[in-house]
Amino acid sequence: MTFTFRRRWFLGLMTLFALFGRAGGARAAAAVVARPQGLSAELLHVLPRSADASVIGGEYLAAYPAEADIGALTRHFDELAGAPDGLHAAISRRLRRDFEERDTVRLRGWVLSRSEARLFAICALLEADRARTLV
Amino acid sequence: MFFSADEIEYGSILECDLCIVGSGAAGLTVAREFCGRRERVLLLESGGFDLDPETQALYECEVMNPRTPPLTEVRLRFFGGTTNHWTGTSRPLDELDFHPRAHVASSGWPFALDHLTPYYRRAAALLQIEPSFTGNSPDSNRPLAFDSPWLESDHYFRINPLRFAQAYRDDIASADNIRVVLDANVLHLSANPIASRVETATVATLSGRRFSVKSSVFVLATGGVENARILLNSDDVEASGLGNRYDNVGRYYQDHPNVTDSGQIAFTAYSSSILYYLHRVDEREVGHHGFFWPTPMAQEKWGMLNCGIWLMPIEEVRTTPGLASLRHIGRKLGDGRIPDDFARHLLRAAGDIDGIFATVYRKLAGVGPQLYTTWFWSECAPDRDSRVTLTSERDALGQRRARVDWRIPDQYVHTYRCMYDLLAHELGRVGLARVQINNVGPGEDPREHVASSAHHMGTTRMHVDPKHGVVDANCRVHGIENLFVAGSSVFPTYGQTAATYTIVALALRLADHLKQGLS
Repeated sequence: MTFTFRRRWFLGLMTLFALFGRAGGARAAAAVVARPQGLSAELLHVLPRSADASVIGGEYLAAYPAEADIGALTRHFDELAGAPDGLHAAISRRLRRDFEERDTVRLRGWVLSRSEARLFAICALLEADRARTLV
Repeated sequence: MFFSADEIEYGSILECDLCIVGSGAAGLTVAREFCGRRERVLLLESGGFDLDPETQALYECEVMNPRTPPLTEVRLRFFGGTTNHWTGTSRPLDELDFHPRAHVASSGWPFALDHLTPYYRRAAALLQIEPSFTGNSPDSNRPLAFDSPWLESDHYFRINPLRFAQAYRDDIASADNIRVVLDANVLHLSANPIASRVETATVATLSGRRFSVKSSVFVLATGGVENARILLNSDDVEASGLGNRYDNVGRYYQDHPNVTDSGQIAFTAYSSSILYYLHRVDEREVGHHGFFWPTPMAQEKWGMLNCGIWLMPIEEVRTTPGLASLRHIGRKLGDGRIPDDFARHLLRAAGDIDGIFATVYRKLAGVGPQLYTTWFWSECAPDRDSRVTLTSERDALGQRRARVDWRIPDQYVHTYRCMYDLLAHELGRVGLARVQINNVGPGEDPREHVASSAHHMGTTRMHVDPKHGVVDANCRVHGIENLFVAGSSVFPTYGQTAATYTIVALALRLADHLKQGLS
């Protein structure tokens, strides 16, 4: 694996951390595509817009092809909607809980919470959808 | 008093009370403890005061595992032994290393850490470090807070490595009761007919001189491979070698396998606590390097070996070619030598100014990356099949050479996976970082990426039962009343710690024991 590829992954991870972690200041990132069926406006607002995030999401979908359904993926986050301290905080708690419960996946060696991998997968599907629209 | 074996008359017999074979960390420590006492001490050293290729070639051996570096490269056969290029990494063994662990076969020492602690304190003084070095890091960088029953932070010290030969040569030279014989190679030990006592050591020089040493007590202190080799070559009374009635000599050979670039850690945010896990030097010029350590409870729960994970800045591993050349030149010039390939390295450095500039700028500006590569370090479980034996090939003195068959048991792979898994989940649980694990994909085996730490251990392991060990709790060879072994070859379990600090502590303990016996 080349350094360039790792750097790409690193950037993708950092994107997600910036959104849900403690770094802060990155809440402005928003998807530019039209909202697909089943995706709440709130969730769409917090998703990263990085192509790197799609790379990771693509890896997840390749490993779990049965999950390549944006509606099903977003339903995993339904219960977080309307959290009193906001979706960012709720997702952050979910990611930590995944690690605590060892509900994790390994993609290209990186150990990710299943929820964050699903968020990346949503990004990948949105990106693919956008590409199709442009074509 | 120092003299060369070539000055000794052919066929003569030297007599003494204590004969120490080898002048490395263990041998010199024992000898120095006898300075000014009434016992007559003879310290036999294979080399002289500097590296001699012909003497060094006596180390040549057959290695079965390509991960084992040739002894000729990692051990030094002259006064001061391998301490002449020791890195100075110091840390006592962990308490758990001394206990038998149900999940680590053949583990445990005959005594607990508490017993060795006073000797570690004395070793710290001898190594010119402070006893407080067995405690927490004295500098201001605190470890990351992740409050876990499974994962802790600990750290190593890297002192200015003591060169025993320089530090203690005058002490030895001025002691009237100590004679150091240089260029003196012990070929074998001759025992009485029932192999209960060593009568003489046969010594030879590369120039053809040969003589014997008769002593009340003999101490072998020639390193983890050579200690076993001398015992196995001493086969005139017992065909399998001295102290080898139960076929334990040479077995349980181990090293500390380590894997650089074994994974990566991406931290969510910058924290000065990350510095705790990077090599740094405090105002006293003492180096510190924190690491992630699985607690004893975690090791037991998941059946792991004792191990640790260190961080390294990415650029340290993926250094630019120009910077690598610049460092090479710097190291050689620092040693007072001009590198042979000086022009090539200079050209390479000149052609990579951008890379050098970027790296130097990052260091000067204090811009640390949030992405770090990791370094995995572990003990191995004792394994009877990992061993030193003899080949039929002979060295320049007619002695059979060693064959080193280093085996890394499967539990190492299990530990590697478990430790990274643990680190990933614990750091993820508190939202501090994400972790990548390398070398564990389908068809991959981290053992293929292992480097040796050149810590040769276990070949004359300590055990109270002669069926399971070569030496007893006092480092005396089972069944032989006057033969002792010093050095890491007596370690029955190896820990995840560099060996020298423990070697010196054990040598001090042995010296105390010998003083009692000889007086």
